[in-house]
Amino acid sequence: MALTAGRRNPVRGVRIGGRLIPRGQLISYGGSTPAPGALSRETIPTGKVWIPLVIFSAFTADANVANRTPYLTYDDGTNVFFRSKAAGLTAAGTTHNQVWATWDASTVAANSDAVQENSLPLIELRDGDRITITAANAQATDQVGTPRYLVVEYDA
Amino acid sequence: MALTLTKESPARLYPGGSLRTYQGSNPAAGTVTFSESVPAGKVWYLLAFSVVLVTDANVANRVPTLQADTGVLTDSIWRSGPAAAQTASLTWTHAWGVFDVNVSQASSDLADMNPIPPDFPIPAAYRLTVTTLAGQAGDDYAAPLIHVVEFND
Repeated sequence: MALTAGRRNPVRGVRIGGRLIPRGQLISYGGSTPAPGALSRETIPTGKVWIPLVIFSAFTADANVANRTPYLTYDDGTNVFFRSKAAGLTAAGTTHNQVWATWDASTVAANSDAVQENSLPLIELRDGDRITITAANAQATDQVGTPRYLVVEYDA
Repeated sequence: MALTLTKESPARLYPGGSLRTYQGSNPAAGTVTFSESVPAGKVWYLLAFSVVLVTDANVANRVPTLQADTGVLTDSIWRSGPAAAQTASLTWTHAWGVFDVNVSQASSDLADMNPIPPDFPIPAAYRLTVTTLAGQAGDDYAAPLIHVVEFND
């Protein structure tokens, strides 16, 4: 998979969740679009460190009757050390926008609002660490949408 | 039990600390209480702990709980357990992190997500211990993954 850097701004030190984010670059990245039925996986670029602030990806369930639970993992290239799942289920024929962010809530949206807000603690990711988005009980043509990552980036 | 360091880098959110991922020992089947100790001369700030449990066919409601203790099982300084139990013949991922939520499994998601106290120092010789209420003889944990910021004491 591949990453495309978008807007870039300096971060001069902000406090999030009681913790000071050191001076770095606030960058919006777009990831690759997975094939239907495939997971999304991106690797922290060589020589960089990320602190993800927001990770966004739509998840569209195909017509097969099943309740999916999208989830996100961090691994060190091999071993999964962190996992955060969606706040609710995604049923057949449904699209939910999955937002992982550093807020204090994990809530299921009302039916009219196809958004699920999911928990994402402040954790640094290192050169070679990977971010994976997939779903439990995923079906053959479920679609993980193109992910976007808002991160504070540093040189490793 | 023993720790294997799988990855390390400086910790920017915790200046002076080292961001480390450890893999713990793989407990033998039927071992439903196991611990990993903070190495000598170190202090840990735990960010995430993840372990997979495969339950045997015995009908019981297993409740895995993570605790930090002083080295004595009954002397815990904090504990965090799941919002729901794991039943027979299932494979679940039990994940602890500095979440503000405690979410049990949904019908399609063989996992739970449990909070741990943020910015809580765990000194050398203290332990991270998994206990399992109603654990069965054939229940089988995999090796845990432990993601910490480590400081020299």
